Amino acid sequence: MDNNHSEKDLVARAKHCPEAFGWLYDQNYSAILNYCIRRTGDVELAQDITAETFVKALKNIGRYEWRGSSFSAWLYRIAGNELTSYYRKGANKTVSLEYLRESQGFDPSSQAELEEELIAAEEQLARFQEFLSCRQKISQLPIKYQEVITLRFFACRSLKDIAEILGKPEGTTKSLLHRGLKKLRRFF
Amino acid sequence: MTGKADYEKLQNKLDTLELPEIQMPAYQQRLRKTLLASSCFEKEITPSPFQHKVRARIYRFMPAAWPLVATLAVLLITLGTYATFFTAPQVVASLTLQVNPVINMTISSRNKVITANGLNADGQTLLARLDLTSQNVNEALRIIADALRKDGLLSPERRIIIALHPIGDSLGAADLAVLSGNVRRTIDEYLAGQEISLEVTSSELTAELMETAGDAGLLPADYVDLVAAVGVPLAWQVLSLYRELGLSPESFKEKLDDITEAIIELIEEKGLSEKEALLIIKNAIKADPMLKNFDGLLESGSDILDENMDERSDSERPRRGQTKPNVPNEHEAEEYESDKPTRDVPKPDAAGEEKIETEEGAEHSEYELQESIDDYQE
Repeated sequence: MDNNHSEKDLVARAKHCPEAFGWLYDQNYSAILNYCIRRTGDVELAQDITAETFVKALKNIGRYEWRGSSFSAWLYRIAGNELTSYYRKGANKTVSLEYLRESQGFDPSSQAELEEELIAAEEQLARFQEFLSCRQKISQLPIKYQEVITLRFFACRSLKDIAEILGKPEGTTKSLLHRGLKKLRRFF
Repeated sequence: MTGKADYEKLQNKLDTLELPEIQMPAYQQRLRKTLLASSCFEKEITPSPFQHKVRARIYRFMPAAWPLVATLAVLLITLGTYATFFTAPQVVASLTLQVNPVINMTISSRNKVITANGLNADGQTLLARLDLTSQNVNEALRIIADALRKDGLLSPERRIIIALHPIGDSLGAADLAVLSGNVRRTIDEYLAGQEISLEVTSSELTAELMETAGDAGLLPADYVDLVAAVGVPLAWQVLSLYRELGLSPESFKEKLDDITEAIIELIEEKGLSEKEALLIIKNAIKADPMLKNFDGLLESGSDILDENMDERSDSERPRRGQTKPNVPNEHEAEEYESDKPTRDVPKPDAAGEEKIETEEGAEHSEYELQESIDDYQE
C-alpha cells in the first residue's frame, strides 16, 4: 500500500474516527503552524489561524473528497484562505475556536505553560532577523504574490503542490511566482 | 537590484534563507484534545449483512441503470415542460349562467375557466370588468355573483339559471353531475351567505341541444322548463322543429312557451306518448308555419283526439290514460313527415294507413288528426 493510498484510507476513517483525525493532525500541525508564522511574523496570530484551520478541517472533513492531492494541500488551502480572510477583514479570526473552547472546554490548568511556550516561541522567532526582514518586504506585495512566494520559499512546496493548493494550473502558478519575485526585487 | 542576475540572486537568497522552525507542543496538545473531543465526527454506521447484500446488488445494477435513469429523467423533464407550457388546457365543459346578464364559460379538466364570454350585451358589459380566465370555476362563480349583487341584479323576483353541457368525450355523465352539483352548491352557498332568496335552476344539457337552441337564438331561460318537464331528448326534438320546419326564430321563440305547455298537457293530461304529442305539435306547426293560430290548431287536434278516443271507449276499447300508449316506430314517423306535404295529405289505403296504436291494439288514425287540422284551417 503506497503513502497516497494509506492517507486516502486515513482521511476516509478520519470522517468518523477521532484517532485517525488525530494522526493527520499530528502529521500536519507543525507545518501549518510554521507556515502561518512565516506568513504573519506573529506567533500568537499564527496559533489562532492554525487552530481555525484545523477546526474548519474537522467540520468539513465529511465533505472532503479524495482527488489525488495530499491532505496537507487541503490544509494549506484552508490556512491560506484564513490568512487572506484575516488580511482582508482584519480580526474576528477565532470564532470557531472560541466556540469549541466554550462547548468542549479548554484545560485552564495549563494556561501558564502555554504562555511560557508562546513567549519562548516569540523570542525564538525574533532571532531570525534576516527572515523577518524578508517577510516584511514580502508582506508589502499583493496577497496573491505573498501566498505563492511564501509557499515556495517559506513552506518549501514544489510548484506542483502550490498549484494544487491554490487550485490553479501549474503554468499560471509559475508565472505568478515569477511576477511576484520581479515585484519583490524592487524592495531589495 | 535590476536584471536577470538580480532576480536569480533574490531567488537564491530566498532559497537559502534560514527559516524559523518553531515547535509549540503544549499548545498543539491542547488543541488536539479539544478537536478530538468535539462532536463533529460522523457516526459510523455498520450495515447489517442483509443491508450489505442489498447494497451490493444495487451497486452492481447501478452502472447499467444510470444511463437509463438519466434518459428517463431528461424525457420526463422535457415532456413535463412541454405539457406545462406548450399544450393548451383541455376544455371539457361549458357553463352558461343566466340572470340576466348571460355569461358562458368553458371549463378545463382541472375546473379552471379557459374562456368567458358574454352571450348578451349585459353579459359583455359585466365581463369587461371581471377577469375570470384561469380562475377556479367556483371562484369565478363567486366573483360573478358578487358583481351581480353589487349591481343589484340578485333581486328576489329574478331567477338564476345554470346550464352545463360537456364538450368532447372526456367528461362522463357522472362527472358532469358532480360538476353541476358543485356549481349549484357554490351559488347556493353564496346566496345563503349574503342572505339572498332567489330561485336557482340548474340543468345538465347536451352539446346538441345547446347548439340547436343557439341556432334558434334561444337562451337557457327559454327552454330549461321544457327540459325539466320532458327531458333532454324530447326537448331537443322540440327545439329541432325550428330547423326542421323552417320557422322564423322570432315566432318560434314567442310560441315556445305555448309549445312547452301544449306538449306537457298532451303527455301528462291526455296520456299521449312523447311521439304522439310531438307529432300533433309538428302537424299543428306545419298547418300554421307562422304560428298565428297555433293555439286553435292545437286545441282542434286535441279535440279530435279526444273524440276518437271516446268512440274507441264506446266500442269497449281501453280508455286513453288507462294504458300507456306505445311509442310509434321512429323511422316510420320521420318517413311520414318527410314524404307528406302538410296541406296535401293523401288518404291512405287500408294497408298503408299510418296509425298510432295503443298497447291494447286501440288505434287512431294520424290521418284523422291531420284532416281535422286541415278542416279547422279551411
